[in-house]
Amino acid sequence: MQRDLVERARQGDHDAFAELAGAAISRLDSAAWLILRDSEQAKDAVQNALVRAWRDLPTLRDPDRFDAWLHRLVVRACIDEARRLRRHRVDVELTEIHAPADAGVESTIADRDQIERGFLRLEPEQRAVIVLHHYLDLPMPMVAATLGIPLGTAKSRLHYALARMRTALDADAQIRPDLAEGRPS
Amino acid sequence: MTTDDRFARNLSAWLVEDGAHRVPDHLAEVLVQSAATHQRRWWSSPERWLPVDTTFRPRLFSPPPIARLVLIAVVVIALAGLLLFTVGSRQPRLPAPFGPARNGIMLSSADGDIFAIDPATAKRTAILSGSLFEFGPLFSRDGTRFSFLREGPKDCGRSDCGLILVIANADGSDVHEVTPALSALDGVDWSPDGTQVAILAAAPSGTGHVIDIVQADGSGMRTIDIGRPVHEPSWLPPDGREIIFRGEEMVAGDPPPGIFAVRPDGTGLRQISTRPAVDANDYQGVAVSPDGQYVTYQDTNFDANPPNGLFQVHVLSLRTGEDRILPQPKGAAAMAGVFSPDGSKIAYLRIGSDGLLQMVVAPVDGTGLGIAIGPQARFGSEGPTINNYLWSPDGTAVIANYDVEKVARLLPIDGSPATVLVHGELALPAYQRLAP
Repeated sequence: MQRDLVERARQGDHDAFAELAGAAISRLDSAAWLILRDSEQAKDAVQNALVRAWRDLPTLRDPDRFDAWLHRLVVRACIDEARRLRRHRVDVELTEIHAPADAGVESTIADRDQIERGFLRLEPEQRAVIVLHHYLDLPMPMVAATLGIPLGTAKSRLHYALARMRTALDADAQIRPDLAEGRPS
Repeated sequence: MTTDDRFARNLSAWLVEDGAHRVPDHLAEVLVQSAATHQRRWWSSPERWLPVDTTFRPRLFSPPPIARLVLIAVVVIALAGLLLFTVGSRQPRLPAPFGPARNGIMLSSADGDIFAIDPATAKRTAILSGSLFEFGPLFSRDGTRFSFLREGPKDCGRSDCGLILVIANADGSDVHEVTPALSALDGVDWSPDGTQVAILAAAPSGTGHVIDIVQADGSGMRTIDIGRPVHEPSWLPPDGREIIFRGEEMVAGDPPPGIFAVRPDGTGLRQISTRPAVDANDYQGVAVSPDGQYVTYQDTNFDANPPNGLFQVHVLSLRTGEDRILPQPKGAAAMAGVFSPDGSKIAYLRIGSDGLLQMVVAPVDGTGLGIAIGPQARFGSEGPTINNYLWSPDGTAVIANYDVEKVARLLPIDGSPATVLVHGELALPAYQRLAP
């Protein structure tokens, strides 16, 4: 069914494209929000990606790759948006990345606020690989194909993203007692 | 259940929960925008299709100043009518390391190793192999050394450990790294005197590339950041006094694309392209002639085939600003020209009205449609399947990669049959230029 719609859209059938976009936009919007954490930016990214998808659909040679291709367009649009945003914002930087620490993590992983804070400290490229794998449930070879990077790079990007989140969670766990005592972190 | 499993499960749960509250309300807006947007033709947007190695295609050689050549030819003809039939094949001498030269060995890479290939026998010999992943060899213009890219250390602590530019002697000796690991390293081009290499690396802004000038002896590097993304850098022959590049329009707000020149010290930025860009894809495929008098690029002629247009190859005179379009058969498009060693011809990829691809060699002065050489090919899932072409140093043939068959073919420009030089998953071969 989807293949037929993609074929028709490639031939210039805008109604077919509308159907494809309607089926995908909720998923894409959620993914973009998770990567960007900014509603307007996410909306812009999805909008740019879908308009570009329509424009470039005739260049998509394999209709069965439509979903992966669309994910790729959205992720790239998100990263472009994030880079534009980065020019006007000072990011929180962690100066060092340590290996995952076992101690103290188990007590914090249940705290979703902390997960969010850890997630926010990731680069958009790192958030993208996490969203593709842990939210859209794509296997790593598909994540690599979607991002246009080698499988090894995708795996190492995921590894370091998770390691960085855990480091942030540990740092949070250490900072919070300080805050409770009224000391600056 | 391990801590890792629990962490991943909680992370997935949080992602699902956090993403679930999105209610997209902009589908109608998207559809209004898309309905007002023309779809591209299926073969358009070449830059996305051409592999990175395309930027490695040598741009080492050049044509003579046409007016001077004609004047000399007239004098010669007047003095000796005997030369009437030979003046067309006369090749003006260009200062070393430009102009036609003897063919040396070829270098290529496969599976992270660098190979030397004897063009006569196609015999392959590994000259750099081992645990390091190395690829993208490119000879210096005098053929005595070559550069290549090496994968950065995997334990760098970042998601992208980048690539390192490495230089070695032509026989594989004296291998030394000349840059640290750099993100998005691309577009390597040797200076005419071989003391420096221009490369592209990730811009500090995070969008696109800047040009880095790297000392070939490894003594340092400096960045030329002109404040906008750049691509396709080439040293301007014969003395490398400037670097020619494409200014890119990558995101909304960037200035439109164009061709520019800047001195290697970062001063003297000037625009070379003479007309406003027609779209963000304009001015792609920039290459410089071996005498530094011409630049070739491609754009899209929207009038020829509305609304999607046809690619066409231009030759722009740096002296006069004259911008010439190479003629094509009706309905055909042309992409990514490369000048011959003597600068009189240009090799490019033609897309026929039937959609088939074929290499073409045509006169730079636009006086003919040129001759098609080598077999035809179809488009693949990623775009053109003929990629990464270069001239042999003696100017008698073009070497092109045929991706579907995984071969590199030698295509004689006299129309004689093509021969397969290299089989397998090899990247663009680099061809050594030996002194004439």
